[in-house]
Amino acid sequence: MIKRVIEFSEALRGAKIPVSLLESIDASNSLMSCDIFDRGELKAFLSTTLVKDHSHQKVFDRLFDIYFSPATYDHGRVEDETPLRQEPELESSFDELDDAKLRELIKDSLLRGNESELQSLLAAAVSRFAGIEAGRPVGGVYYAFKTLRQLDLDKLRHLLFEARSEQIEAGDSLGVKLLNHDLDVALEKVRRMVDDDIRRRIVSDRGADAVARTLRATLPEDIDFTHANTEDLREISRAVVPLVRKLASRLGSRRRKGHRGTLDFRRTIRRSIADGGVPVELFYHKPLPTKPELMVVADISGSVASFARFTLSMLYALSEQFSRVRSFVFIDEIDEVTDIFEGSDDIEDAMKLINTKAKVVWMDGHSDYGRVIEGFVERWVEEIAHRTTVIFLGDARNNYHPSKSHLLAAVRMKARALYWLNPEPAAYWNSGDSIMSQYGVYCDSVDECRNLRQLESFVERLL
Amino acid sequence: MIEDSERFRFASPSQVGELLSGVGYLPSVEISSVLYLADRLKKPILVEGPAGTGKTELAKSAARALGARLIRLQCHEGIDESKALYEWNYKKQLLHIQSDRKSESWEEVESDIFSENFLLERPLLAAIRAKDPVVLLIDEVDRVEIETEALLLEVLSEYQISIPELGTVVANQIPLVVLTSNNTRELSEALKRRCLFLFLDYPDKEREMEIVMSKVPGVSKVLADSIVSFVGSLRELDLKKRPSISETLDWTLTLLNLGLEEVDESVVKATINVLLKYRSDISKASKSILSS
Repeated sequence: MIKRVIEFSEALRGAKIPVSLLESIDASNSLMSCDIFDRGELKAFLSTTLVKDHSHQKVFDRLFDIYFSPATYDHGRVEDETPLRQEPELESSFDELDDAKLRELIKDSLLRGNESELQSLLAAAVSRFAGIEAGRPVGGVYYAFKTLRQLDLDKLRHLLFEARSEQIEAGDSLGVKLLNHDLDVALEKVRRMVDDDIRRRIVSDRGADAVARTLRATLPEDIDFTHANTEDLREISRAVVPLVRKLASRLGSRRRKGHRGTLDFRRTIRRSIADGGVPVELFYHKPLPTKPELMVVADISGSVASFARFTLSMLYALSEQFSRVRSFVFIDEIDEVTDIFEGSDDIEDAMKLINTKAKVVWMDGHSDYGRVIEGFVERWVEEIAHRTTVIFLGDARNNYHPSKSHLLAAVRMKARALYWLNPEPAAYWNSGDSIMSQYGVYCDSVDECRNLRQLESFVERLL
Repeated sequence: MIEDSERFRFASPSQVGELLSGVGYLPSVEISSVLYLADRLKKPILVEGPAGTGKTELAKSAARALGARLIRLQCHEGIDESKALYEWNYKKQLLHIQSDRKSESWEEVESDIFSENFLLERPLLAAIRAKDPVVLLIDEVDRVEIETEALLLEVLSEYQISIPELGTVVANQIPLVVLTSNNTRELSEALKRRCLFLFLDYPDKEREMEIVMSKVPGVSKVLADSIVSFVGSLRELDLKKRPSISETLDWTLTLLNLGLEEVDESVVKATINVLLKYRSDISKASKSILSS
């Protein structure tokens, strides 16, 4: 068992969750007090000793299911609590039902909230629909997709809705809303249970280590902006808020602690009265922090839009740290959108407004950095002051338009600093139509910024 | 490591659950498991989570359930060892020196003024020296600066405090320690490593319903159900401040006092300010939940 826990800690480290030696010793120690036949208790114990950051919990859960999945975990234990689905008679008794009847039964067990029955029914559905072939080195995503499509969740939802909507009076639109919300939760549960079941089967087929390697277990701060799917994006944006809060308080305390100002004579004398006129403690005036002004110029064309979104939302969340944030967006035409951001307190709303209001397309809607830089210099270079920091966000893929990079020299001359953040891996720069190095020579630094971790470290350097 | 003579506070996680429920705190399985394990491994618990999910309440209830004294250290920025650990009462020392120093040599005076009589106990030292059972609550530990955090480390891992003039004070008994954090900054690895970690999220629907029913007697099951699912759907929105458990309870009381038996649109519109505290949150909620 201890060996298993150590393998498990290894796997967590593999997913970039920091697990120290002391923590894995604690986890092993906790086994002594643990009823190891109680999987829930084991999970609680391992999670509390090994995971010290809530954003890592999801990855932990997945890996826990792999390393301590009921299928392998139950192996050789007493037969009293074996899940229903492992009894062959019961599962085969589902085989005679047709698909509609199976769905009906799943609906009933959801309505009654009977988890173990639901689990065995979904297991039957997986056996029937997923068509799992032993030994194939695939993740479970394809199997889950097949099962859920055949199960037809929309139809299931419809059935559930009909069954539950009787309790709701006509015209009670709030009731309907709440019911819909409940159904979302229920269907999410079905999805999760199907996933779990499939993963269990794959694990018992191929072993935990092999599955852990193929499983994509990425922490939200390591997800690549440009390859993120909708769910990833949701996860990233959930991670932005706490990240910004932490960053702000870290910066705040650094500011406060920074070099002290002139002697606060009044306070020092006032305090010295308590010590008989001896100035034991000295007080200083706090220096007024100098706040940089920011001009952010972001490419919002399709390929890099989500990168621009996260960077802008992060900078705006930190706007207290700057004297002013001005933002400009472009595709092949540049427009200032500072007003849109300042007029709304929700970054998502602002992004939507930008897509409809800002004039960013001039000709064909393909990024044209040269034209944009020309426009920026023409219209706004006069407003760059010596404490303005200019940040360009984009992949510098110019679609073979002229670069006009020399114009950036004027920006660099006037600004305090000029940075460029590129969401592409540095290895891809200057290949194809990317002309990063042509712009790069005029910048103080060009940084690869593919995930939240890199973005965070850049913002911290900025201040 | 574990000596036979030592007695544990809890016999099993389920017993923790019963004890806590007995004092009106309804724990989830995770909560009672972690509390149980903290006792067995003699480790502090670091509780994190959004505001209003019962982090501080957990420590208070644990103290009540164990019949122990609660010693609380409220952290804030600028806290130092004189506020957290101990302080020499130097005004008293000064008086002592001035009163009768003629007969004594300096060595005598020195050993005299750095003795227990002149030591002011602060929460951490108090918890270490306590003879009766105590629960130590270190509240909002994320508010202290990262350098100050180091002060806590010796207490939390060795359960002792070194005072240069006096020597090392070792704990008579190992107190149950609960640290809470609102996660406004990343705590240091060193601190996290020494603690068991517990994340208190908003409770799931079943548990929140239990909480509502037990804390607000007289609420019907139907009403509790719709209250909890409405609050749950609010929490899914991207709000500045999501409604906490205590706000759910406030809202339930509000509805009861208004004599309302069900949640519908007009009720929500009239009373949503109990749940949401920002104007922008209220307008966002009305947009996405109320109007179709």
